[in-house]
Amino acid sequence: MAMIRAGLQRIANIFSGPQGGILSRFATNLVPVESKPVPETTKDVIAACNKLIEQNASRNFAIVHLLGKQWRITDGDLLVVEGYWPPNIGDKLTLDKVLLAATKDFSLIGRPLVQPGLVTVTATVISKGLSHTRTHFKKKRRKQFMRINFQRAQQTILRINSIEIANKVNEAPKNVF
Amino acid sequence: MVFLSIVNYVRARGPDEIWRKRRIFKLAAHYIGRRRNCYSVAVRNVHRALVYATKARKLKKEDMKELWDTRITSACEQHNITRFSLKEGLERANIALDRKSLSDLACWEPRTFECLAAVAKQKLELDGFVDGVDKKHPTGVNLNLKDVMLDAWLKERKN
Amino acid sequence: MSAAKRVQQWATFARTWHVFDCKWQDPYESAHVIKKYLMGLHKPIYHPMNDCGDVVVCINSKDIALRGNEWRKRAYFHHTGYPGGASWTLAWELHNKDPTMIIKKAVYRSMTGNLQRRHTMQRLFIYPEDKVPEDVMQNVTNQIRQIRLVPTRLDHIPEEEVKNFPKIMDYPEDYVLK
Repeated sequence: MAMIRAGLQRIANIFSGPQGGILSRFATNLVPVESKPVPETTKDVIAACNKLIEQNASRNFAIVHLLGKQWRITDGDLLVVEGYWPPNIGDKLTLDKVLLAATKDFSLIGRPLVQPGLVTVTATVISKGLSHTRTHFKKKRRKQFMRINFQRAQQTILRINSIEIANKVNEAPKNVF
Repeated sequence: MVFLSIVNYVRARGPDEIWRKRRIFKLAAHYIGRRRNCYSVAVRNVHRALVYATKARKLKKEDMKELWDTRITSACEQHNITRFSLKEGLERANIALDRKSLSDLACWEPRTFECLAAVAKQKLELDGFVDGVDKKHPTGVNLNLKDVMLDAWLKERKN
Repeated sequence: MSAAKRVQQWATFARTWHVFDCKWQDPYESAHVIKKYLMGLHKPIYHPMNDCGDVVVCINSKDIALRGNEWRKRAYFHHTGYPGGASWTLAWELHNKDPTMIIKKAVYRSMTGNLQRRHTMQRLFIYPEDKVPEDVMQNVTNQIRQIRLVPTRLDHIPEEEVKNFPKIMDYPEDYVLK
């Protein structure tokens, strides 16, 4: 898979190289050779977003990265995090790896994370425990082979307290760390 | 007082037998007919069920992946972009959403997904990327980054 | 949930009726497209346990196009269940008997064989001509895009237009046109 990806990357580099790439010219003539300027984000949009943030009109949701998984969360959600994770019961956390935050009207897409301090996701650890027993059972017919193992994963349950878009969009980032 | 268990203990052929069988019968408790009452039948079925359960833990992950992929594909089709170019565009734009969250967005937050598709398309256009896969006829949907941004929405609202 | 929202929710799960024109289309290729709509694979809310498939009305199934010499070579197998009950029908024979059968079988075979398949097939309507009963047609709200463009036949273009079409050469006097 990694090989394929590397190959793709190389092909992509050929296409996106200087002067629109060598291959792109005879691949199809529909492809723009020179790159167009990005349509600039108008100030109106940002102002409107900021107004909406101030009004706090609708519920926010966010996609956060937590322990190698991505979760789509909103206020009051319960997350069950599996595996070893140090936080204890009652700990209040802020989930900083926010990949995307959105309201009913607009979405803030992070590349790959939204600006630190822009979106605050707070959560509380409400319980720690073990999952149900998973039976790992192997058997081979007519070979006198049978193995049974039991495993229980550690589970931490998180309650999402709030997802707030704290700063205004397009403001200089505050140092939150 | 009636002691029902005593009789069973007397009939047992070893100290371990009752408990060994009991373990299997507990797992077969919800079966029907001889599969729950007869040890030799029950043990076969319980073993088979446990093997299935073990294998299914892996299969479930694969199935979910497949489901997410079909959902993303269908959502991409609605916005006239292929799944391949969506992934490529998002990767180039440094947007690190995985297929689980993408399919979640496609299903529950279609507006956000539309924005993501527009971003991917714009990025590919800027890079001059040729999508060899995307040789479909136009669907009449033209996805522009400008259209999915808020000013278009605001204009709509004002009128 | 407000009344407007409730209607929106119903609309999400309601069945849409699509029409598909089979004229000049490969039935086996178009089966994959039709299947997608029948099973609901074109919706982001798809789930195998979620009955979200749509209805597809196929018209002009008489005018399907098979590749190469498939009309002559492709055989459809049927067995009555009795000894010696096997029979092979060639595609052209089957098409003469029932012009809807080839497309129906193609769609049926394109889906995986589970318990849902026969119920999904009931949502497929096939008509050999473009005459569709009014009670079916009144539900249709969408048209599925054809896979191939249908070219206009030369003898269907008005004669005047053919005559006025710019020529690059004339046939020589002694050239025999077949």
